[in-house]
Amino acid sequence: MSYRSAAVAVVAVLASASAVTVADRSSTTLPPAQRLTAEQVPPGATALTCPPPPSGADTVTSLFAVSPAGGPQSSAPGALDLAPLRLPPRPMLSSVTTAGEPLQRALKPGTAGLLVGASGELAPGVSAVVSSVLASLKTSGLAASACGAAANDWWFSAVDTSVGARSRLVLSNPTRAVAVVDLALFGYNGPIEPAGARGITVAPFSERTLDLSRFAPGSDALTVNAHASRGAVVAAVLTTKRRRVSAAGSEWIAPSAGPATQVVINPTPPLQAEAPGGGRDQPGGAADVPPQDGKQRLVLTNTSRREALVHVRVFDASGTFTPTQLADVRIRPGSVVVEDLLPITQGLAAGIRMNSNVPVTGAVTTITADPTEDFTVSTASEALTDPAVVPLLSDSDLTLLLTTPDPIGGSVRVATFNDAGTRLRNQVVNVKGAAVTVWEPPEDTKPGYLVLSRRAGEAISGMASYRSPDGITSVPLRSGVWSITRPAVAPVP
Amino acid sequence: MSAPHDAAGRPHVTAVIVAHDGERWLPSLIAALEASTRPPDQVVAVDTGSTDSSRDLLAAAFGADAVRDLPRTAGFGAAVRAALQSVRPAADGTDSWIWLLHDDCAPAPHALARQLETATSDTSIGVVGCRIRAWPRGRRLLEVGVTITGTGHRETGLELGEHDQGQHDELRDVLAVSSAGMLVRADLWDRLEGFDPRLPLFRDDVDFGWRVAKSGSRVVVAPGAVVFHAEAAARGVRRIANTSTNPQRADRRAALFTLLANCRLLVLPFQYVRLLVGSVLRAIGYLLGKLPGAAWQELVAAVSVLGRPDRIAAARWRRRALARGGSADVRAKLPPWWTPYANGIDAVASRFTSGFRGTVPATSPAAQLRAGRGDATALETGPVADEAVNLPVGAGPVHSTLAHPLLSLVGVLAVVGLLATRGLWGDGFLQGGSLLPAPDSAGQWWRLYTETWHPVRLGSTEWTSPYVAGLALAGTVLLGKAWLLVDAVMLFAPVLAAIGAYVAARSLVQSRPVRVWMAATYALLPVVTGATASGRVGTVVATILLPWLVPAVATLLAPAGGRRLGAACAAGAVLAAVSAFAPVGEAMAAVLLVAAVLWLLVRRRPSAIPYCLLAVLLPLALLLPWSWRFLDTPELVLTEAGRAYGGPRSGTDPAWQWAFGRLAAAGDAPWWLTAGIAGLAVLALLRRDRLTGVAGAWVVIAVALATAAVMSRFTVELPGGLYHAPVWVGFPVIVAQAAGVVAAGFAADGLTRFIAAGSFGWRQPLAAVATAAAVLTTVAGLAWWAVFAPAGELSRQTAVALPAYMADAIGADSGLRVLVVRGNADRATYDVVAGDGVRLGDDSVLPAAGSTRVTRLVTDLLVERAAVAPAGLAELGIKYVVLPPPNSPQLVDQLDATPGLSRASAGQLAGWQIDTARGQSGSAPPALEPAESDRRWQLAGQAGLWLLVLVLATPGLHRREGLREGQP
Repeated sequence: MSYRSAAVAVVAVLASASAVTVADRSSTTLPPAQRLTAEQVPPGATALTCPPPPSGADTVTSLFAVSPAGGPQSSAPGALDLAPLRLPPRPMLSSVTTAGEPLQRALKPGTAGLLVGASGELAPGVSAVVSSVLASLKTSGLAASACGAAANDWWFSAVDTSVGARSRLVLSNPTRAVAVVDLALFGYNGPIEPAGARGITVAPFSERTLDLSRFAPGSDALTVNAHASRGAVVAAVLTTKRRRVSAAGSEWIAPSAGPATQVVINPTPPLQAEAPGGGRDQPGGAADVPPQDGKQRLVLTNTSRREALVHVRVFDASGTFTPTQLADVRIRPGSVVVEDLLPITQGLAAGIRMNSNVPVTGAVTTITADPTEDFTVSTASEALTDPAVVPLLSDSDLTLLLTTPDPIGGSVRVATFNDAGTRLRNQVVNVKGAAVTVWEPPEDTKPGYLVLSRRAGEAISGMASYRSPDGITSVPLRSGVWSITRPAVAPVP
Repeated sequence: MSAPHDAAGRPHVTAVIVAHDGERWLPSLIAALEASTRPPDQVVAVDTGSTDSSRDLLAAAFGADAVRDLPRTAGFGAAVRAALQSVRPAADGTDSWIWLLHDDCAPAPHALARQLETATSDTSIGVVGCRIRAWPRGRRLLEVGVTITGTGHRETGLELGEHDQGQHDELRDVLAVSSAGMLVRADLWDRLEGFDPRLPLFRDDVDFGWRVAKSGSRVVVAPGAVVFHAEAAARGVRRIANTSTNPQRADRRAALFTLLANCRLLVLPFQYVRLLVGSVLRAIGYLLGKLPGAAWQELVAAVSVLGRPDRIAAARWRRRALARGGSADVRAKLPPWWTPYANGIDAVASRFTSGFRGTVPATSPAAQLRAGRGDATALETGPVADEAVNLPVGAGPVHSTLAHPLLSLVGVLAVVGLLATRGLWGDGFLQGGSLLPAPDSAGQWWRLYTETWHPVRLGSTEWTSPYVAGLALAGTVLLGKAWLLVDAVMLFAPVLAAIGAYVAARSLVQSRPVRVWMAATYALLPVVTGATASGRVGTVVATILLPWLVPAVATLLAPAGGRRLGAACAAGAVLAAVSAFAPVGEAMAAVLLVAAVLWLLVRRRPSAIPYCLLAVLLPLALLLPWSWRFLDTPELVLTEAGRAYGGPRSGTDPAWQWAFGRLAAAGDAPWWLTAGIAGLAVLALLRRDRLTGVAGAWVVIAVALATAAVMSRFTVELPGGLYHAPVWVGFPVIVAQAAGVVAAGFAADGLTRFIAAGSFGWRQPLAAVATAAAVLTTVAGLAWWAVFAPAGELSRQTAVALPAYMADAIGADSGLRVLVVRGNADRATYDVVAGDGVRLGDDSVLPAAGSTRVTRLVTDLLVERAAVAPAGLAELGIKYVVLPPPNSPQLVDQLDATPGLSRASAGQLAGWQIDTARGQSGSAPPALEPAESDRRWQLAGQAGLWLLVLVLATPGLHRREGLREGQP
């Protein structure tokens, strides 16, 4: 036997055993796997598109835009700009560089739509509203519309194309790419498929106005869906009415949330201004105030291909109840049903809560003659998640109509700012659960704006109703975009 | 000179004997002439400067007057002419015939009589030949007439070792007959001027016969006429002195001249080209066979003939003047054009199959006979009986296959493999784990290896790993079917590994059963370790190639000198191939080199050390420039071919299981199934008489496990940068297992004798238990593989599911890409697909991590509805965006609303086309422009180096120097 070989063998065996033992005991720690986590980041830029001012020599339109202070910190300086909606280069009409300082500008009638762009530290939470006072033989009323961000799906209920009414759909394309829009119309007798309603192109940085009467004339409760199959648009519907030879009001019909099986239509303003807190069975409520001239109509649309069975509940300042006259409503596929709410609501502020077996949508049209004949439309909107801005229009009385389905209720913080962006006061408003909470700013509130922040409670939504001698209008409360979800993206392993 | 014997009406035959150092054979010739039933009428002999007693023998037999003397350099034709000058003419009206005889031939007694019978039977017969049989009285046929192939080869049309049983005993029209025993009509000889003086020794008979045929006369082989011929000059027994040039050159020159001088005018240009190309190819073949001298002679011969068209023209002119009759007569006597190629294939096949026939010892004449198939030279039968030579050698193919251990093992593994991989057959590409799908053809691997810019994802300029070239070469052999190569390697790895393992075992142990066990056990390692089921293509291929190192290493370390340079080159080439797939192989070889050097110094064999060093360093040169990267990025040694992959169980199993070949890989066998290998390797240490080999195997085990331990300290970042995984230590662990098998094999070799040599004690039962354990280990492994058929990570899937028009677009334009996004608005992954997606081989050029630019653009795309992101993606050549199902409706709506994107699909798969505002077609990013010139030179240099190494590594061709009499 070779002793050398034996020694080598022994050493090799020991080395092998040692290698395995050392490897076994000194386990390598793997670096932790980086998890893909989305993050919420303030938007770097926000663009809102405002509809063009209504035409008419006596129409007065003003724009209000503001980027509230107190948003997420951003290191990049920003600006809030106003420019016309057209291809670049476009002139800067107005600009502010301080958060909280509103941007206000009077707009000439018949001009093009506007782009409100915010960047940097002014991008989060920016909000803009266009309000018009129409005063002529043909048009009248108060109409306000929130400026919105481009999207590919828009719903409008209670659109009136009957005799004496004129509804115009304004499609604005604030992007660089061509947008192609398809319209879907729903009427009393089901879906309406007029020629030319599909493939409507809207060039970049331009707008296109369509007379809905051309597509579906003679309907006083039309539901319109504008879907961009390519690109994105901002849609708005302006309805003006005439009674015989007199103007009977105008309204920018607010877009509503898409069809769902559970829908909450925001509270509609009362037919007449009433003391806050007035309910059906409360002092100053319906029992004490005689009903005025006016109408409150509930417009329900079944957008599915199956029959809808909708359970309707009404909520007002007193709470929620199921109206015996309107407990369950059957709606044929693709059809619209209109119900008179006035006997139920007695002309008070009330909202509608619906449960359906298929997706439905709806709105409440309030036609009032107090102080002048005008109408407004309350729609379903998304709940407040982030602070919302409500401008205090001059010469208008603001009423906030808040609600929450949470029976416990909730509360919102209302911060009041003046025209210079200075905070004047903070208030906490308790929102009654499953009821309507009506809140009005103090009498001495000067023009400026409010910032509503959800303080407690879930699914708080509402409308901001403006009433002036010129008419009435409502704008749903809409959260500004304070943050966006930046997804966690990684290359595939 | 004998007196002419003229009889009225009887043909007059003059025998011409040409002698040149033929004292060995002349007595037999003289005796044969004396015994002839029809002796020649006149005998004339010519002695061309013999240095032995040839002249004296001739003078004694035929008289001094009958012998003429010529210089030693005189050719056969010149000798015949000189002899005929002194011949007294026959009487008028008598047919005169010339009977040519070599000094190393002996006609049978009835030969001349039969020839004359045939000659006088038809006046068109001008030349009559005999059946040429082996010397001195052999039954093996050498020639029954001869023709010439299109490449100049002398073609007899006989089977090797064909026995004369009368099957050719009939009148045969042929192109030519051998000049040994050739009977030529004298007037024809005179008219055609005999043999061409420009053909002093080779092809003179073929040329003469060709000219006879073209003149209108027939060349026939007479039935019943036999001449025994020693073929001394052709076999090299007699030194050729009648040509001053190299014999090979002279032979080749004669062949080319004969073809060009006699072929039809119409085919002359084609023949020129064919012979030129053929000469070049033959020269290359000689170079590859390490016979540069022969290659030189081949080229010189070609130039000397083909470069002198004037001589060809003069020869053709002369022949035309002498010819009578059309060339159509000749074509029927020429073999088919494909004959030389068929002979070549036959020769190669014979060499290949001869390696599998173990029924005949290699040193036997029959084996050499078979080995010399295709060689025109005959063999001396020597003292071996004719019957022994002519018996059929080897059994039939079926019996040979079943009886051969390797073929049987391969058959068993193939059948088990078919059973074990039953779940992985079907359409689509095999992929999974570390294995990427194969490309559509091997041509894509070639392109990947030769291009400097690779259209994979966003494009890459990384050096392609040389393993891609290996795959391309192997895929080309399989007619470009890359999928077939991948399937064969991954699904039948044990079959391929067994072949190499058996060859390796032959150089290690003597016992056939032990060889079979070693090969079978080693073959199962890729499967039981889970390497195949994890798609570890690098480890699997390296395992298949590894055993081919063993014979070369054994030669390097052997005591005798041997072919150390060739062995070093062979080892280097195999190690380079292994390291291309598993770079850690080179690292282990470097460590083992140190051990080998120490061992050689202890054994006092320092002369082998440089060759060992060459073997280890050669892979670095062969794998340049890719191997250069190891200097910059040493961690590359931790990688291997295939996708970096963590595996579901990686790092979960303890390291001690490495000793049993377990790696926490998908689809691996239970550790106890092959624990016997480790136990047998330990028991092998008890075999004292084999301790050197066993110790060597254990050194390899130690180095391999130590390498695995070092590697396990590191982690590898998986593509995407999110995850890390332990380094795959599969190859070192398999090397350790293989060394364990070798150790066990050493101990098992000759175990019976070893046990029997000692008294009965603990050894016998232990040996029995060890043997049973060894067999059980292998059988259990086979059974597990067959029954459980572990697919692991492997599956068969179709390629990336893209709409057809997208796939066509990116396939047609290498600059276009598709962005594939999966996920939702909160979390998403993306892939950039170019061409046909990421395929096997592309992993070697993929960037280490995803592009941050693309990640940012994709994030922007999923967040912002701005045209910035699509335009940015278009800049990178991304033409389409795809969300495969199941996709997020929110994302789909979001992308629908994104300016710059146009919906381009319907159905489950959502796709968009990016509207490139700039109108660019998706050309390659300007920063990544291909630079071809440098690459071509480098590739050419690399190919040349590989060719040189392979030439040095392969055994060379050996020119037959001839056999001495009586030597088998």
